[in-house]
Amino acid sequence: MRWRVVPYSENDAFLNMAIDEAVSESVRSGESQPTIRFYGWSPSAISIGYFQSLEREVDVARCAESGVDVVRRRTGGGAVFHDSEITYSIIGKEGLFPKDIIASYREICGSLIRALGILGISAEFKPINDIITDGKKISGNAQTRRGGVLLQHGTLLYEVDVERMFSLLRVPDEKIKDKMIASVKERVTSIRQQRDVSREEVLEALLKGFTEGRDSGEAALTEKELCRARELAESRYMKKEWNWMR
Amino acid sequence: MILQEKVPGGKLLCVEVELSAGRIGKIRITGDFFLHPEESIEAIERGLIGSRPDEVAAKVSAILSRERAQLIGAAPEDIERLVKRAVG
Repeated sequence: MRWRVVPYSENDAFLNMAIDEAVSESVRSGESQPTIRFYGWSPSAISIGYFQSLEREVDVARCAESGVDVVRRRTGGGAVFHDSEITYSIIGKEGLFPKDIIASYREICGSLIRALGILGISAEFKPINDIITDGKKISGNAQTRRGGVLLQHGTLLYEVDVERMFSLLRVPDEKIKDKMIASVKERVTSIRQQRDVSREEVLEALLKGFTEGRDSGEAALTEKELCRARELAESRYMKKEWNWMR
Repeated sequence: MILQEKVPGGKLLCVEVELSAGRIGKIRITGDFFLHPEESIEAIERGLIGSRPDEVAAKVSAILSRERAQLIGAAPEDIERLVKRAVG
């Protein structure tokens, strides 16, 4: 099986989520090869999990003031501040991955762990969907399976600004916000906290980590995928009905 | 009434529930758990309307089997426990 690798590009939150869905459709119909994609978010954005309450998780007004986009993902999991991080997605027919969901997270996260190893960072998979180094989270991942296609996307933290993140997220109790920030700082790390490497080096390591043992070649998204993605961005990911669904 | 809990070894689960004459009149389940397929959450919430709090786990399990859905990071028993605590 030959994999398509879509090189790193930056898009807004709505198009990023729409591209993952458009590629899932073209992989499902057999028009596209299974795909590995690396991307960034411009402007910075918060994505929330499918089942999260937007109102309770995100200070939407503060995000608007700060020029931070907010989007609901098709995948479960938690809120992610896409600021100084690198996101990947891997999309293929379900048969290419272990049937067991945790086993498939473990296998896909193995590619990220290989990439971190190349950068000299020793990391391990922590079920359900995290990668940790030094006991701290460095990557969060989320998966969905629809119409026989598995999509997993996830974030690898390059740098982390916990204060800024908490200025955009809501916490259940404002009185303990400082405590929560301190606790997250204890539990989360980033590549830059571990190693002095550039984003380019991280991207190179990710490419190696994901393509090792896979027959692969770089190729762009097709015109059809891009066109469909723009349509999905407008009809779903930018819509209030979608983002405020819960 | 809203109640939220980090499920031990699992994910954050939040239940917002209203009872009417001892039965669920309104319920919304949110959090950072996973459910495949995701749309089954609506079938679960709809299916719980009219149930007593002590029927929640069995109802959710039945809906998950019917929908061939898989809940990850929380269990039907966790939802029932939160519902009972929210209304208790």
